[in-house]
Amino acid sequence: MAKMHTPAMERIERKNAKRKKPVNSTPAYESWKRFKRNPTALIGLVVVIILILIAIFAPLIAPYDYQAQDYTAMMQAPSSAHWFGTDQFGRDIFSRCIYGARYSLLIALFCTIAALFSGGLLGIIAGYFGGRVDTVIMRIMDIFQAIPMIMMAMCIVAVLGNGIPQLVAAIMFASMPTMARNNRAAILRVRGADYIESSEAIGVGQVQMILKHMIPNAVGVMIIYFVGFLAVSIMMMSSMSYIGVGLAAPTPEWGLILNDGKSYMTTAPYMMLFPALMIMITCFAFNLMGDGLRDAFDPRLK
Amino acid sequence: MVKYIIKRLLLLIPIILGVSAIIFTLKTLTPGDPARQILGNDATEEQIQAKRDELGLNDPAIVQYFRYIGGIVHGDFGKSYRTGEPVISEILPRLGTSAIITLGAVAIGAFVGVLLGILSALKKYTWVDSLVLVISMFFQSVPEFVVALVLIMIFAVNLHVLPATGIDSIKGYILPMATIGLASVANYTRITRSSMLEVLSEDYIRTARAKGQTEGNITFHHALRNAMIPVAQSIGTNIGNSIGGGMVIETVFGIPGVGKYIVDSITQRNYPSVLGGALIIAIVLTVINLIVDVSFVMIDPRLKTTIISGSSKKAPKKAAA
Repeated sequence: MAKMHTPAMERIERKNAKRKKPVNSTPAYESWKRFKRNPTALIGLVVVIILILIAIFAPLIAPYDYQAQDYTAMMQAPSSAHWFGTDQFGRDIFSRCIYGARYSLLIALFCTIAALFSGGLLGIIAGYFGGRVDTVIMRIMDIFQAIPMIMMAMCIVAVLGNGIPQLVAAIMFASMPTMARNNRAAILRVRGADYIESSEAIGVGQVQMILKHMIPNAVGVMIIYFVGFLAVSIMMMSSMSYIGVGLAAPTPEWGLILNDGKSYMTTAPYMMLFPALMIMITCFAFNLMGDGLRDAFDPRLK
Repeated sequence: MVKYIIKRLLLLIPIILGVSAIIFTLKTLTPGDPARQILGNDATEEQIQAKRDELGLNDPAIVQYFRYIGGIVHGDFGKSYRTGEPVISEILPRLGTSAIITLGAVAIGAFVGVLLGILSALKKYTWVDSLVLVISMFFQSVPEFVVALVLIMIFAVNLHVLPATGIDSIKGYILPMATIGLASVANYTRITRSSMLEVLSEDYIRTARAKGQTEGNITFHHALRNAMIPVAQSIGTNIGNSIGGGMVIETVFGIPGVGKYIVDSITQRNYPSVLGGALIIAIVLTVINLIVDVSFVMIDPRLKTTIISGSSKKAPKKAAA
């Protein structure tokens, strides 16, 4: 049949052309739509992306080597040659801060992944099996939690010594109980769902059940904790390095750079200002993003 | 009630045993042979073996662990390598200082947090609400020592109104307390806000409004009192966080508390002091949590179930039984 060309039909067609095509909406897309509407979360995301780019391209951005000492330019205030000034060894603080992004983010990522594979896994197992397994695992986690997190991490570093692997191990053990608790809660929320029951009824294996049915459905909540934990790791790492119980010099970690500038607080405050700003911006950005993710993945929690 | 307290007291035992097991494990991992540390480098292999036998270091780990527990029961948390004094007698006088800092911090955090929480609940979904949340989140997300440094820069270096380090005068307590307190503001703000929002939509608030109560009276007498229950419950967790924060902050401000003692001991490689101190803190903290929980149950017996299952001191299943 030939198409009718009445004015009314044209109007309707024009309207339809303007309309967006219906998309096959997925939970991830719905979450992204909610995340997008949240300005503070977007700011956090942008800052985090910038920081990741800085970390990746650190050698290209940093004008100097982070440990090159220049005795002709010691303790200089910020200038066009040294944007953030130089420290007592003539090292360029801007370069150190840039490389600091690489170290801080990478170590935080290691810590969080390690915590996810230890505490997170225990939490998932506890949540899935429930009953006695759950009780035993969670009671052990209670014991770990009786020691304040940062004290636990410091004790482990005290015993193992300063260094990146030791620090990762320390933060991993210290954060295990929190990670376990969060992931257990995430699993418990999907545990009672009808689709889990029906998968059980058709005889899905336990490993497949956890990997294919439960984790994908709980992944939103898990991502929230993951991002939040990156911020916590950076906070713990820099706090520990600052008081001298974490990484060893000359690693350009922000807490350590602050520690270097400690003695010159009154005479050269810029030595502390910039690394402090880097820590503040990074932690705040991760938290803003994490908060946005929470609202996006889990509107009920708001 | 008595039954509940006894139950909770019994639950302390496995936690303290477990914590001491963790500390004992760390102790066995410490580098260096204690026997060699005592005898010095000149000692012969036989002398060291003899000393090891004397100290019981050649016994199986489990025997050593029970000996360690036995020592703890008698108040023996090890001896400091540096001074040779028992760790407990070095830490006890410092506990008071740390307790004052922690309590002050919790008080500041709770006061500011609750006020901000009420404000953002009353002005919900306005710019005031968002601003309060962003500011309180800022203090939560920035490491405490950075906040401490900024406060020192402002109030000690530039304005010269408060001392940067030490607690020689009462003024010295202000900055450390404020630093630790500010970090917990966000927590209280969030809990107060959501709890207030919930309470404000209750029927009895509408009744109060209907009978012509003033808004101030409704907020502070009818709503806040009921909204405070979850806030009060979170104080226990918060004390733990504040003690953890105190470890770093005491070092930043040079305050002679337990935190600084432990951090100093770490840098001096004084392992018995570090691990003994950590164990003492963990025990103190567990007891504080118990006291907080029990006192809230005394105030409001309905909490008995929520505290047991909620803060997961016990599995929900057992709470129902």
